[in-house]
Amino acid sequence: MGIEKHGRLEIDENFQHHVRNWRIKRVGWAVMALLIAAALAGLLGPGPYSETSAEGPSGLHIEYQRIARYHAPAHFNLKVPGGKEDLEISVASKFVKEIALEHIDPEPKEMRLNGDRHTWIFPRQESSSEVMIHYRPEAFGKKQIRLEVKGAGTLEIQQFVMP
Amino acid sequence: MDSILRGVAVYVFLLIIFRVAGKRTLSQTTTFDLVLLLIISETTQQAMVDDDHSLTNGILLITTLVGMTILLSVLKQKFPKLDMALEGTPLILIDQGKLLRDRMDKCRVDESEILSAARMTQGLVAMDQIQYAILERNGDISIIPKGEK
Repeated sequence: MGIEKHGRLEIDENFQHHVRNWRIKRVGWAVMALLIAAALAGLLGPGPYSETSAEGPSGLHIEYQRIARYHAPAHFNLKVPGGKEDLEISVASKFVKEIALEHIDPEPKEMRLNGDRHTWIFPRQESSSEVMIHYRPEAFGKKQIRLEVKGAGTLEIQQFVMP
Repeated sequence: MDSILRGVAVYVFLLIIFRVAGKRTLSQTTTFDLVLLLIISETTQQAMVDDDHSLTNGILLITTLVGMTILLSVLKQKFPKLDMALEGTPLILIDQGKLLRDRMDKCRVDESEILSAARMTQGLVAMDQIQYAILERNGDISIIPKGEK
């Protein structure tokens, strides 16, 4: 940083640096606008792009977020067909380990461990019903989640957890 | 480890965003700017602390933030180019009585701000009394009146 002389004034202005800086600032503003646009679109967490659903075999339906955030609320809405036997939903224990489970609505009447899978058991209704699993991700990155519903099949979804 | 990484990430992000926003953005704290700063600090705090309200976490975060500041000041001392990139350099806005409008536009300073600085720091009343006006690295405007030797 050399000291320049402007008349009597001694100053380390370096005008070229300012010109460069103004250009970088414009790029920075564009990046900020893009970041906000992406967030509004749901590319960085809850929003239109993130909210999605998947269909499984025999009437299984799940609503979930493609993109969730670390320690922020997330949920699955699982629609299951009606039946006579108890409803058994299971997920890999690894998934349960990587989340803080907030609550399941309705509350399961029983929880069971089957090897490396967690199983929640609900009293079954004749008509189709909805189970909501509320949780907060405790690890970030791409997650492959497999939900098994006994007698109805398996749903495989992907979720990306932002840091 | 988590909180230290979070602290570093937040520090670097704030450094970048305030650099991109420009020196003038929050240099003159109006009441609204003050409220904005408080909101930013609250948001920052939540992102850094997360759920860990332990004393250990607090101590670690403060150490990280102060440590980053010390590290940066050492690096800035060692590498003048880094200092220039992070802190910028002063910019002449009035050169020997002549207003440099394109520069003023680029850094969002208008005549009334220069006049206000002239009144407050030098007790000047008119533009033609100003020899030099300089936007300093900290975002303040310094005024050198005409006829000063």
